[in-house]
Parts: sequence; C-alpha cells; structure tokens
Amino acid sequence: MQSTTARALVGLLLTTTALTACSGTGGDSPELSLLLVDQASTKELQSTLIPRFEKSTGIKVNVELVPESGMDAKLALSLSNNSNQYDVVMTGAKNWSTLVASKWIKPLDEYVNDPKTAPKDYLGGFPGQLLETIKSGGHYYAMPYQVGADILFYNKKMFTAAGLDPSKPPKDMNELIETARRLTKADRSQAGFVGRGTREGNENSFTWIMMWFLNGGHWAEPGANAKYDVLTEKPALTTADQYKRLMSEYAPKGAAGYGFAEAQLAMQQGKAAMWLDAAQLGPALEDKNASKIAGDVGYSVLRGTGEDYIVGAVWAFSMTSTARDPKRAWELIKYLTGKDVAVSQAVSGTNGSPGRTDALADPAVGQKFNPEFVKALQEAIAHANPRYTPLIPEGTQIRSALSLALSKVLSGEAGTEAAMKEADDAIRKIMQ
Amino acid sequence: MNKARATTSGRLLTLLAYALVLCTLLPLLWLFSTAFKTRVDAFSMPPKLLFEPTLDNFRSVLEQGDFLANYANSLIVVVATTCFTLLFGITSGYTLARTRSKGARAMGMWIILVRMAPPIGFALPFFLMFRTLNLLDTYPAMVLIYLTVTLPFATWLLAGYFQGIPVEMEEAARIDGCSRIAALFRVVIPSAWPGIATAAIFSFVSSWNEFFYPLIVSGRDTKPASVAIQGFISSAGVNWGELCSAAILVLLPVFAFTLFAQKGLIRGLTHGAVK
Amino acid sequence: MTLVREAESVDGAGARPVRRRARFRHRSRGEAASFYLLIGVPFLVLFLVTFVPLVVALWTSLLDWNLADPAGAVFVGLENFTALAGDPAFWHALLLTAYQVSATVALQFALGMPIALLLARRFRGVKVLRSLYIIPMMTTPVVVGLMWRMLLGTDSGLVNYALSLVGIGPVDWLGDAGTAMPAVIGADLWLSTPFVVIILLAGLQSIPQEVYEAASVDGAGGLRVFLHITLPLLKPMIFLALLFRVMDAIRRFDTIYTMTGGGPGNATETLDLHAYFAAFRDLEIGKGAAMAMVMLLIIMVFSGFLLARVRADDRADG
Repeated sequence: MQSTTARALVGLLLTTTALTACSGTGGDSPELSLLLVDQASTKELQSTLIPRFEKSTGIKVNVELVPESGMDAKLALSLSNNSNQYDVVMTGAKNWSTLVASKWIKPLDEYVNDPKTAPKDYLGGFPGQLLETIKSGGHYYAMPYQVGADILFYNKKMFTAAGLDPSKPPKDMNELIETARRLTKADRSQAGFVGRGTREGNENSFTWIMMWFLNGGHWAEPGANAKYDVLTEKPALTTADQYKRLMSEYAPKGAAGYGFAEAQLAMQQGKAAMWLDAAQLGPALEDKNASKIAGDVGYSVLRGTGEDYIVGAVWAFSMTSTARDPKRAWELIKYLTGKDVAVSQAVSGTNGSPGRTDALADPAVGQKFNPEFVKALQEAIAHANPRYTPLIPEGTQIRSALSLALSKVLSGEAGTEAAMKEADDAIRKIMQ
Repeated sequence: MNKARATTSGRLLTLLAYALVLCTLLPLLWLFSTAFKTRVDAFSMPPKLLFEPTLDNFRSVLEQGDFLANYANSLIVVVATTCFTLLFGITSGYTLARTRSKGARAMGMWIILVRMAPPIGFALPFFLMFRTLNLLDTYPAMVLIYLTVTLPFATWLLAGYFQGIPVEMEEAARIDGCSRIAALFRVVIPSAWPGIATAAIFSFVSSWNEFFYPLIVSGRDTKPASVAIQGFISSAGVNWGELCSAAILVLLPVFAFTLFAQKGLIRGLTHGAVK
Repeated sequence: MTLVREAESVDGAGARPVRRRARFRHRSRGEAASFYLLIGVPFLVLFLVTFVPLVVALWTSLLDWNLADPAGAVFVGLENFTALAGDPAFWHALLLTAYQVSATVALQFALGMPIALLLARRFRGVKVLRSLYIIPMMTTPVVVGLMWRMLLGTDSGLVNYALSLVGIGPVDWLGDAGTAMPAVIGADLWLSTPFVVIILLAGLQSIPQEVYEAASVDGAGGLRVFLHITLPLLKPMIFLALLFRVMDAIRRFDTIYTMTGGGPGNATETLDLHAYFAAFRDLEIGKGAAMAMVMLLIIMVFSGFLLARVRADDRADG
C-alpha cells in the first residue's frame, strides 16, 4: 500500500517532467511568430486573414495578441531578450525610437529597395510622404499597416437637437470646447465630448497630444540640445486646461478611466456627442449591430497652426533582429501591409484607415465607406505627423510622465500647472 | 461561544449572521449572473434581476481559441508545481521537524523570510536569470518561480504536522526492520496524510491564483488563465458578460477545492498560522 | 553513526512544546547516503529557488541598468538607493503603502472580530455559513479586482445603482483620487477579512467553555467577559493574524493592478506597483531591484518586531 503511494508519486513526477519538457516543440514546417496589438482588426487577422496566408504559403504563423496597454512593455521585454521568439512584431511610431536605438528590429531596406521582393504594385500603394515619414535615421524599419490620423467624430442628431448645424462642425480647439459645452446636458445623460482619460498604456496622453498638436505643440527633433521638458510652456499648459475642461466638465462621468474602447462605446451608445480619436476606430460607429448612432455620424478634421498638426499614429510591422527566417518574415510583412488585406479589412470595417491609398481608391471600399469619412481621412493624413512620442529611447518614459500628470489633473489630485510642472521635472530627470 | 438561547437577541444575531454571509457572497452572485446575460442586459440600468440566461458568453470565450490554451497552461503548471511542492516539501518538512541543529533553525527562519519577501524581489531576478538561460516563457521556468511561493509554505505546514507524529512510531517501524526512508513512507507520511492533502490544496490554489509572476515570466506559449483574463478588460474593455464567464471558468477549480476540502483547509490554515 | 534528534510538537495555540529524544542508527552507509540525498536535494532546491534570486536582486540593485539602453549595465554602488531617497514619487508610494496597509489591517480586525464572534455562536446552519464565508479568501485575486471594477463602474455598476436608490452619486470610485484608494482597500477587505475571521474563530473555539461559565458565576457582563477573558486568551492568534495580514497587504498587487493600474494619477500606486512600473514598464531594472530591497528591509524590520512580541508573550504565558 505504502509503496504504491511512493510509486504513484514518482509516476506523477515523471509525467509532469515529461509534460514540462515537451513544451515548445514544433514540427518541421516553416514557422513564424507574430506579435500583435489586440484590436478588432488584428483579431480578424488572426481568425481569417492569417489562416489564408498559411494556406497559400505553407508557413505556419503563431499569433499572440497583447492588449495595447501592455504592448510597450511586452515589446521591450521580449525583444531585449536574446531568446526572443518573435519574427515579426506590430510596432507603433512611438516604439521605433527605442527599438531602433537598441537594434532590436532590422532595417528593411534590402527588401524595400529590391523590386523582386517589393514589386511596384506593393510599394506604389503607399502615399510617398508616408514612406518618408516612417523612416528612422534614413532607413526603413517598419511597413505601415494603419494610419491613425485623428478625426473628430460627431453625432449629427445631437447637433440638430441642440440647435447646431450638423454640416458645420467645430473647426478648432476653441470651437470644440464651445460646442461641447452646448451639447452637454446638465444631468450628464448626454455628454458633449469624450476622449481617453486612463493612464494605462499612456492612453490619455494620446488624446492630449492630439490637442497639443492643434495648439502648435511639437516634440523636438532628436539631437544633442533637444529639449523635451516643454510641458510648462504655453501651448502645453493651454492644452492641459482645455483637456481638463473637456474631460471633466463635458465628458461622461467616469471618462477619467476611459481607454479608446470605452470612449468608442460611449459614442456607439449615444452617451457622447463628439469624440476626437484615431480614424481606424471610426467604422465601428457605423456598424448597425454594435452602434445606435449608425448613419448619424459626422466626420471632420480640426485645424491647427502650421502644416502637420494631426497626430499620425502609425501602426506598422517590423522584423526583429533575431528573426530566424527573414525572407519568410518579409513575405508575412508584405502580406499584412498589402492591398488585399487592406481592402478586405476596410470592407469588413475592422481597419478604417489602412496606410494604402490604393485600398482607399478601391471601388469595394468606396461603396462600403461613408464618403464623408474618406474625405476627412484623406485630409487628416495630409497633415499627419507621426512624431507624437519623442523619437528617443526615453520616449515612452516621457509619455508615461505626461500620462501620470494628466491622470492627476483629471482625478483632482493636482492642479494643471502643478501636475505639468511635476511631469516636466520628471522628464528632466529621465533625460539626465 | 455561549449556547444560543432561544431569546429574541439570539435570533437577531443568527439572522445577522445569515445576512452577513449573504452580503459577502453578493458580489460573486452578481458575477455569476452577469456571465449569463447578454451585453444589453449586462448594461441595463436599473440592473436586471430577471433575464433570459444565455450561454453565448461562454461560447465566445471558449471559441476565442487562446483561452482554452491558457487554461491548459494553468493546469499543466499548477499540477507540476503541486507535485514538486509535495515531493520537496515532505522531505524538507520532515527534516525540519526532526532536527534541532542550527542549520535547520536557520532554514526555518529563512522560510519565514521568503514568505515575507516582496514578489518583485523574486520576479525581477528570476526574469533576469531566465532571460540569460533562455527559459522565459517555458513551463520549467513557471514551475520554478511558483515553487518560491508554494515550497516554503508547504515545508512549514508539513513540518508542523510531522512534529505531531511521535518519534516512537518510527522507532517501532525500524525495529521491525524498516530503513529510515521506508519508515518515512510507511509510518510518517500516512499519519500526516491530512497535512499533505492540505499542502497539496494550498499549492494548487495559490499557484492557480498566481498573477504577478506569470505576468512577468510567461509568454505566448505558457500564459496562464489568470493573466489571460486580465487581457479581457483591455481588449473587450466593456464586455462584462464575456469577462464574467471567463472569470467563472477560472474560479471553478478553486471553488471545487474549497467546497470539498473545507475542513482540511481551515485546519491547515489555522495550523499554519499557529505555528 | 548516531543521530540524536529532538522533536518539538506543537498543537494548537500556546501549547507547550513536548520534547522527546530519539536515537536513530542507519543500518549501512548506503542507507545513510540515500537518506541524506532524500533530504538534501529538497533543501538544495528550496535554497536555490529562494536564496539565489535574492542575491541576484541585491547585485542588480547596485547597477544602473535600463533594458532598452544598448549600453547595458553599469555598476554604480548605492546610487540607486540615494536616488530613491530623493525621489518624491518613491516617498509617495511608500506613504501610500503605509496608508493602504494600516487601513486595510485595522478595518479587517474591526470587522473580523465581531464577525468571528457572530460565527462562533452555535445555531442551525452555522457550519455551512462558516464554509460559505471563507469563499472570498480563495477567489482568484485578479478576478476579485475585475469583479470590483465592474461593481464600482459609473455606468452600470451595482454599487452606484444602490447609491442612486438613496439619492447619492454616481460616484466615480476608481476615477477620483479621493475614492480610488478606499475602493481598493474595500476590495481587499472583501477578499481577506475571512482569513482574519478564520484565525480568530479557531482561537475562540479553543477557549474552554468552563472559563465562560466561571465568569458568568462571578456575574461578569458580556463586554467585561470579552475584554478581560476572551481578548487576552486570543492574543497569540491576534498577533499571528496581524503578522500574516500585514505581510500580505504589503504584497497586494493583483487587485490594485486590475482595478486601477495604480491610477488615477498615482493615487493607488503602492510600492509594489511603483517598483513593477519602474522595472517592467520603464525598464529601469536597477531601480526596481533597489526598491525591492528597501521593501524587503521594511518587511523584515516590521515582522522581526512582531515576532519578537509573539515570543515574549509566549514566554510570559508559558
């Protein structure tokens, strides 16, 4: 009896050792590992479009989705690891500085400049200006998948109900605030505005930077004397005040904890009248199954000073330095950023702002998209600036400091000026 | 403590106890009911108490493919951790119980210290070590880091149980011709069976519930359910129905253990605490 | 080869150790060897999984090391620690942790004692109630965090609905700097008050009935019995529950992380979260390790103090 116990214990032990030992074994067929930010569009990539790629190429693709709030850390932690398992990773413009400086992603020039690996119909589909702006230090490190140029989405019915002309949306920050005030009901059952308020994944700073760009703010170009502690300068302080006013006086209760998903839901459910956010989030507002305001959505682009006052949040695909099979990895990147995927995701509504003009010009897309949306999108992309995070390795940390300050402002933990000054001090410390 | 008297105040206290337990469980009941609600019902204000239950949330959670894999990861790692915890916990607990050497005492203190150490104090160096050894996102790495939680506790708990077993019993077995190892297996372990079961349950539950360590050392291949469920809130942000049904799936094994092993649990806990 | 072993047996609170002596002889060298292997390996494992990491953490705390920096690690001695001393964000996290821990533990005892007394009575169904009451304690903390995040929501949260019935709110519990910490503490109260109750309950049940009977013969009232008899007899249990709860409250990460992620602002960014963000978001590995060391030191000093009190009490009683 007792020796049975002992034997059972040993048996269990052996089984578990065998179980633990056989982790990570794969077949002989070529495999690629892909890291994606968890969004509606990438979920669709995983469920339908990547299986198509696997079928046609015979390459197996292991996909991992990571929430946007954890993506920066995930990228840095896995890529800094010499046993990194990913071949292709989804990267934001905000990540490039860190990734390039630490040599975690590879230059793609050899593929982009070779007509054999990058045929004309592939490369020619991207707007030329976009291809220029995504370069880091003169080299290609990423191919654009989504250009999240910011657009003002608004609820036309609410405009009419408040006695406003839905064909004349606000044109700049001051008009935005005034319109938000008029659209907000006293009991807050209808909010005039909604944006991102949470500091998780530095989301709130994204909304703030959109406004800051409109007010003439910009990050310095990297260089020996580049100054990043600019948060106590006038454009930043003005923006912080406006952000606070919009988000605490005219936004739904609880907006301080909103990420893009919650903000989107508030619009879909008709709880908020205006929303300033990245274009690719727009098509979901027109989805009749999910949105109560489908058909009533207006689109406009706010104007700012200078030429590039729109945040161009580019999501792109990069190849890791440790990619085991670069040729196949490039094939995957080319597929993911190619016209077929762009068109099919635009039609299904999961990716509202592909980085390709040839996809937007496609008749299938023209039929599906609201022409007002396409018009706004094109205007926004024309003024897009992808440098919305300082292009230095400390960029993410600077965004974190800013996010913390904004979160304090919204929660009433600190006044605008004090919070921004604290963030400025933190940035100085980071840059030391 | 006093015999309940059939007085009004006694009845009131009894009523209060029932009300208290009900209130305590209310959040969980709410979680359970939300799992069976449609998105519209889950969001309706005032909250719907009567609604048509749906299994759609469970279906979509299970169909999302990854969640089942994460669940399997949890099971594999937790079972392996529990086995290793028992194997090492029994032997080191026994040693601790039967020695009064300085080394053993130091080990006892060390175990308490480990129990108190901040998790980041382990997560960070383990992350660095696994990174160097290319062990990140592997089952052995997960089991190893979980052992820092379960092993000290199991050792401590079992040492207490072994101390309660008279040495004379072992001596008798040895007179009958057993070796020490045989005596350990034939006499000590069977008599400490309740303690071992408690240690097993604790290892299982605490490694199943573990979140911080896997957040750092797990990856695509080994992500456990506890970490996966956190991902629900960011992506599906506002889809409480799905989140709640995933939560129920995560809670199932833990609740099963809690309900079936009630007595051992309480005794193990108080025993551990008293020592 | 002779081994002399003394065993100490402990059962129940404040029990006196019973000492026995045992003589063991191994029959052969081989048997002795296999026996030492059997007990040696586990100790080695225990040692490896616990000691080595702490040494690595200590060493790392002396490095200036940002994972994203291609330059790698540089030895800087105690610079990370001096930097912490002058870092307001660190002090903020430290004070916040002190607030969170003391409030959680104090409230847990304030609630736990009456609940334990309530559940120590004998009435119909009390055993079932006790079983049900400990369920929260076993609930996966991440789920607890998510659950409370749902319950405290501004749009469709149950708590705000209940408040609206009495004309309050809606309160943005997790979005307001003033209420976020109380909300986080509330979730921890729900999660781990049952632990305190169980320990106290075990203590209450181990008090012999005769003690109370003697007291009631003397005509002592309920409150006096509690203060002068129950409480002193419960003292060892109270200390131990206190020790465990303080240790666990300091380590509380999962519920806070899932409920607020340290926000709003840094209103709930306790030491654990602060160190986590430093190490795994900003990738300042050295700084994170230094914080871990400071936390370890604080916990050691505190529990050393508590343990000493327990020992002193034991001696006084025994």
